[in-house]
Amino acid sequence: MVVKVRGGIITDQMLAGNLRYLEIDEGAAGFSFALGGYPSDNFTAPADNYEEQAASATIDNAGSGYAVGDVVTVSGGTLASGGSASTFTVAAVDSGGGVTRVTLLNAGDYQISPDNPVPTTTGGGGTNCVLNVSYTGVIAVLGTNRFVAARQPVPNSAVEQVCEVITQKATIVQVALMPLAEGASFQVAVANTGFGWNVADDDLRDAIRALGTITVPYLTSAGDTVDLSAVTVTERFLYNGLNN
Amino acid sequence: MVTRVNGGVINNQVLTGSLRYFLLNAAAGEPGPFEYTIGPSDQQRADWAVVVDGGAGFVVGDIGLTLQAVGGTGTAAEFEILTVEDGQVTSVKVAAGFEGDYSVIPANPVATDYKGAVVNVDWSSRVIVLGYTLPDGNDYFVGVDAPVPYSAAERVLEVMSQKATIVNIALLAGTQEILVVCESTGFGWDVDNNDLRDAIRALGTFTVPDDTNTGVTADVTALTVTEKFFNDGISP
Repeated sequence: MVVKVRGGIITDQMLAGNLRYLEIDEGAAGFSFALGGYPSDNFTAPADNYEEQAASATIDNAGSGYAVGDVVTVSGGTLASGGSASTFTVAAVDSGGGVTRVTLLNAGDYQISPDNPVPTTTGGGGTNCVLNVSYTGVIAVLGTNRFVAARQPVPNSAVEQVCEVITQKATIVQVALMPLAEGASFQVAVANTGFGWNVADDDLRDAIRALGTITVPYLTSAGDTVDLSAVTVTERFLYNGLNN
Repeated sequence: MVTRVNGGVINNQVLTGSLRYFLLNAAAGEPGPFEYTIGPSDQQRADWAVVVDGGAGFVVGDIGLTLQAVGGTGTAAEFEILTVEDGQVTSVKVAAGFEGDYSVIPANPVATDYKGAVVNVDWSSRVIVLGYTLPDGNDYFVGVDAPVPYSAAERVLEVMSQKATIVNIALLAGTQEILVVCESTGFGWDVDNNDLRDAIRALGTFTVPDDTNTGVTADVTALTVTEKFFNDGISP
């Protein structure tokens, strides 16, 4: 007689049963522009594809000895190829020459922006002004004059349009933008409960392929085109482990 | 000005934010303490057999003899003849000590090596639940692919679940590692400060089930906890 004695907290559901993992592969680099700026610290994209620029700054430490009109330069970070550091003009000071407001002079161009709070160097006589800088990516939102903030989802990206198809019959729990082949593929974790696609029969693949060639946000306001007509969908399994 | 335009179905929560992944490595040689987390499919034994074809030519004197299972890969199971009627076997039981040990079990119905008798067999793994016996005095065996109670993995996850909700676990190819997926919400361990690692290590050494009556000693005193990231991707 088979005696199945239940474990304590380990359940059949826990044994890789709650989630399913799918890898969507476009074959080129169509999934590159899913996030503004760097998608993650683990992402190694071409330097000229993901750049961040300063957008504004607040004062973290006023310093002293500054005068209105001085130019302070942000320290740190990794500059994009041919890029420059962000600079701000001192717009207001207190009685001791402490900076109380700055305005953006040069947005700069970073591969990896400096972590806040950011020390500065000065072209004037002041010292110890420290800023908290907000950065934006350089991906243009189609149909607007706006750019997507660093590490924020890019609306109508190829990843997003594919995920919208997946969500017709599945609940997406996580999306992984992977450092594989420079944006050729991404992975999603979906809830097993209510998963309605028959991946083995390629119905999800075909539904994504039916999107055909789409226009997605890019570094320019005109966007770029991505061809999804040859996308592949492969189920992955957690029990093979995570790469690292 | 930073313009934060929210995407449609993609939000920060799905961008690796809702789940966290941890690799627990016992830092011991193989086989590690997680070897018997579920009843293994490559160590199966016969638990129960019922006659589906009694064959022909059996006599009362055959009672007590054994029929050997045909097929599968491994040590064959044997079935003791209990009753015979009109030349046919009508009931058998798995012969004590001859439950077999299969890496690949024969499919039901299972042929036997004597006078055409055929049986259907229920199988379990060879993992024994320590400290428990059936009413007839026999050991408890864990079902194939079923969680092994009081396994090292279970003991470790009990610690982890004190401050986390475990969603999935993954048994990796090796038996010294296990991958755990937790909900990010309510996760109370400070992994960077090794509090989870230290809490697990405090379990020390303990006895866990294996395929013997005495179990085997598991040692988690050198276990490491490493956070993994979904955006590293799932291996093929």
